[in-house]
Amino acid sequence: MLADILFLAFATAIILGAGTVVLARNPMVGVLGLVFTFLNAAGLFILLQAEFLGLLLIMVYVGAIAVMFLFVLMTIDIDFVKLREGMAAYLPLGAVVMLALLAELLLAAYAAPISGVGNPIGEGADTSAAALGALLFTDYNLPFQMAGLVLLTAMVGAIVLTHRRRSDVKRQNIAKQVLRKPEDSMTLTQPKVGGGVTASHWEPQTVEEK
Amino acid sequence: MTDLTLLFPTIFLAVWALVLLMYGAFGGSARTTAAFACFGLAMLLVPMLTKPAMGSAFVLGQGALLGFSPFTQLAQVLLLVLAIPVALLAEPFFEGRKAHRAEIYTLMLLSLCGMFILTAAQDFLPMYMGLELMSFPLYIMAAMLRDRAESSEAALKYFVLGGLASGLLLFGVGLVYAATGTTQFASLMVALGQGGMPWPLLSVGLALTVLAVLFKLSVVPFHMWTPDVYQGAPTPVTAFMAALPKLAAIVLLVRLLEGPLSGLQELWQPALAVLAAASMVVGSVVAIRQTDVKRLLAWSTIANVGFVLCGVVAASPQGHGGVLFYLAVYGLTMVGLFAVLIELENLQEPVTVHGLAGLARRRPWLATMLLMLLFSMAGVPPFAGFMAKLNVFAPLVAAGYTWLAVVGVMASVVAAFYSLWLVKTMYFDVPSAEVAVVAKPVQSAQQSPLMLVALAAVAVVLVLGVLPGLLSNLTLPAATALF
Amino acid sequence: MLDLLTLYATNLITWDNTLTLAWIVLTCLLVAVPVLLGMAYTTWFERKVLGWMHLRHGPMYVGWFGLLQPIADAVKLFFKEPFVPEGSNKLMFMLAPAMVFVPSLLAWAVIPVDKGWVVADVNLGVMYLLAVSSLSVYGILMAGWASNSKYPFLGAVRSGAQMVSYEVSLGLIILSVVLLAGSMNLSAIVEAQQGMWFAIPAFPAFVMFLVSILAETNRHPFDLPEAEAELVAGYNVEYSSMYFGMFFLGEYIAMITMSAFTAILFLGGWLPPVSVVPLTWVPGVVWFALKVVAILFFMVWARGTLPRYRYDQLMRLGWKIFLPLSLVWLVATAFYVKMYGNMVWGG
Repeated sequence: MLADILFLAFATAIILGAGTVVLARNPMVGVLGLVFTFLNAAGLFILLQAEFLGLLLIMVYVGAIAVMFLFVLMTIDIDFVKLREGMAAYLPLGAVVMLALLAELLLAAYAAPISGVGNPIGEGADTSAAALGALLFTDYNLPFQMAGLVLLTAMVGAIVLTHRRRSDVKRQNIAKQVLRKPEDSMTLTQPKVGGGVTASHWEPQTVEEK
Repeated sequence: MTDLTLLFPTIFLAVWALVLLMYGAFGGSARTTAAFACFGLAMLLVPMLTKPAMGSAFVLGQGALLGFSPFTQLAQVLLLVLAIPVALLAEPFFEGRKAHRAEIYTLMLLSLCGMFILTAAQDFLPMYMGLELMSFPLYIMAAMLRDRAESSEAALKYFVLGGLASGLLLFGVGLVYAATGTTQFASLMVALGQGGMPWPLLSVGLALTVLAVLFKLSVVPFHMWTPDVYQGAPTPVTAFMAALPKLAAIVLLVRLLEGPLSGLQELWQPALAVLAAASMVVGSVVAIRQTDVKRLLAWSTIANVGFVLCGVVAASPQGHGGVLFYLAVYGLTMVGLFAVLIELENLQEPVTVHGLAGLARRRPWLATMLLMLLFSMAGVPPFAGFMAKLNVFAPLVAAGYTWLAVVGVMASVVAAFYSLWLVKTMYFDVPSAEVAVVAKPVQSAQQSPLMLVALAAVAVVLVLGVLPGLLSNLTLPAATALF
Repeated sequence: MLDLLTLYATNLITWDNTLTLAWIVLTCLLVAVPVLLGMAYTTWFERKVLGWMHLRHGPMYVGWFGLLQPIADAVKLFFKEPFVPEGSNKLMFMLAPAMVFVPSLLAWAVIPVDKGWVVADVNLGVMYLLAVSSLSVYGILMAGWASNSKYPFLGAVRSGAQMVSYEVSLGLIILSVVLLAGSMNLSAIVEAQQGMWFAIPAFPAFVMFLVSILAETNRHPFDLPEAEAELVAGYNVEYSSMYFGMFFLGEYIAMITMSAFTAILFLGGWLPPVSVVPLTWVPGVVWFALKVVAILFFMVWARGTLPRYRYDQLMRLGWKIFLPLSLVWLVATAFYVKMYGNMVWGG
């Protein structure tokens, strides 16, 4: 009963949020719509008693990935109106593809009920987190480790493509700063009255030439 | 606990990639990293050839996550054999452009690791992860020359379209899971084996899944990304993309079609036949109009994938054996061609069709190698390309798809036209004045790995052309083991 | 459809359901009101402590020892004119303060202040806290962007980068504690510290955690998002009246939340330091409050003592020092737990 109402609420909100993402005039609003969609999708997960996945969705997608989206959108300078200019031309094609997918889904859903979905975690597991962990580290360890490799690839790629040693940037080497001693950079002298100072490490070369 | 010795090559690749990454990060030069990478790959060949792994890893219920058959085994060996010369190509190219980074080799090895998983996947989960692990490094490597706009454009196009394809794949897998409650090939086979048409949910899911693989293969309706990506990516990366992922993807396709989908043969056979015909015709015809050689090779890749699909359509041991044979020969030819192209680029020769005019007089050695490789591509008899085409068309006729074989032969005539036209340009055309000025003066024969790779490719193409049995004696039993 | 709705309506509005609803509202108030009051007096506490550190008195005029000062501040904020700058995105501008304020209060749903005194004793309390605390960054980003002004914008960008960066090491440290306790339930984590607070065996993690929460709550010495010397007041420059007040509320509640989180993870929550007789007579809530206040004092102390970090130093600390260290710590903890099991003594 309550679950039905919550489901309807979450599902409606997801559709609204997804609609915002596609239709928003302002990309910032679009990303916030995406965040809204994620939050409600997390709600659906929790409704399905997959609390761990739901919270993970919020933590990873809302807490990190969408923030990065927002961040990039805020800091780059793109005329989004200009980007959208060609949209009308592609709209019919997009609509056809969307309708085709929708038709396929509807057909599929009505032709045969979704059936036979097993619960790989199994019934009677104490918490979904523990059960998920047990599965990920035993039966499905291979895809899990591969996901790690994919993430590593992405990380290596991001660094390789953006990192570049620049010589024109000042850098701070804290260890070097801390280890610096007075005698490395300072000479104490007691000049005679009326006499100048010549640093010990500086040898005059051209002064006496004449 | 699963027997991890089966997974040794895959794990070795991943670990070796990590070792190279650390080596590069802590000051190792790109040059030595290249040497280490090639050394590792060559070392890996030893256990793979001496102790072929058979059986299943990560057994779950009815099926397993990975399964190693002779077909998989041979495909992995071929991948490895092709990867070594490609890795050799990177140094001469990137070094001259001041973009040689140790990470290129890490990425190559990671991609290869993904391909190994892909060729052995017996479940949609490792299949998806393998596909991603194979593709991600490709996107990054395509952008390696990040100061060049074409390189970034190629990477972005590849990435966005690849992302779309994997989205469709996941959607398809989701539908398959919704319909059958399993992601395993084995259980799917049981579910499909009950006869009759599969219910709509399942068929949509399966179609989307196969479509994602076809996208990676750049079969015709999903080929639009190929020319831009091939042209824009750094040339060694293009060689990598042309030779390796195609092989991995087609092995997966064959294993999907002959495994869980074997019951639906009367459905996928005609569909694939149409796609194969379209690929062959479109690829060959459009290639004629190209002026950039890399772009031309991209279109010829599309055509060649069409030829390969002919072998898949035949759905017989001979056909699938022909597929492996074709892709091995094709991959090697491509590697050789790209080696010559890199050498030409390094010599500041224009790599356009018109720029090649009079090459035979300027650089007779390079022109000769290019000639032999192009002859092989065109399917001229003494070279391996001819045997490769024969090996896919003959089973096709045997399977009753004579019309497709006729289309294929016609398309290969068209393909032969542009190959031979290139040869004609090199040998009989007079170069325009600017080309003669731009190109560096003729140098004495160089001892660069490029020439080594090109020579090796020419040699293998010649040997396999005369003695095809050397390879087909391996591919045929491997493919027979599928049935 | 309509039938369905009326069916739902008639079935939902029953005496039982109304009672449940009333109970839910009551518990919410029972949590929210003390938290809000606590927040108000955190500002008083901060001003007093800072004052003493500066050898002055702090607020003294409103009420005895300035005790009514927070109330006066609140009243003042309520009666000021809300000002929406020209050219700003109105809706987002007004929504942003709520986006900071609401998540900070939401976190209190899972925080146990005493044995059994918790609104929702969920198994994934740690995850919930992390998830909810990662939401408040949106309010700040929205505020900075919607203000259509450069200082707020810079403040918001800084804040976003900073909070995301430190969340990484924060998450890893929390994971190591979860490993030690063998549970993600906050009450269970507290119970696991019967024998010894985790701050002792996991001392390096504790220190890193304390520093990270300063960055996570944008507090000194990591208060770059509102660095007044460079950015005037950062993301909330354009805000006035209660819109500003809500940022203020959100920030201080986040401080209390993080202090409570630290107390639960490392200082044994409501448990007394040692289970001997006179100490166990003191109610758990008092111990809990004492610990929270101690950590709040640490935060104020840091503000009174340390100069502000430069932005590159902040990022360096987060990514190059805390991230590897917390990873190493996590791996070490995992090894320990694998060899000797969870660190659950006594109880």
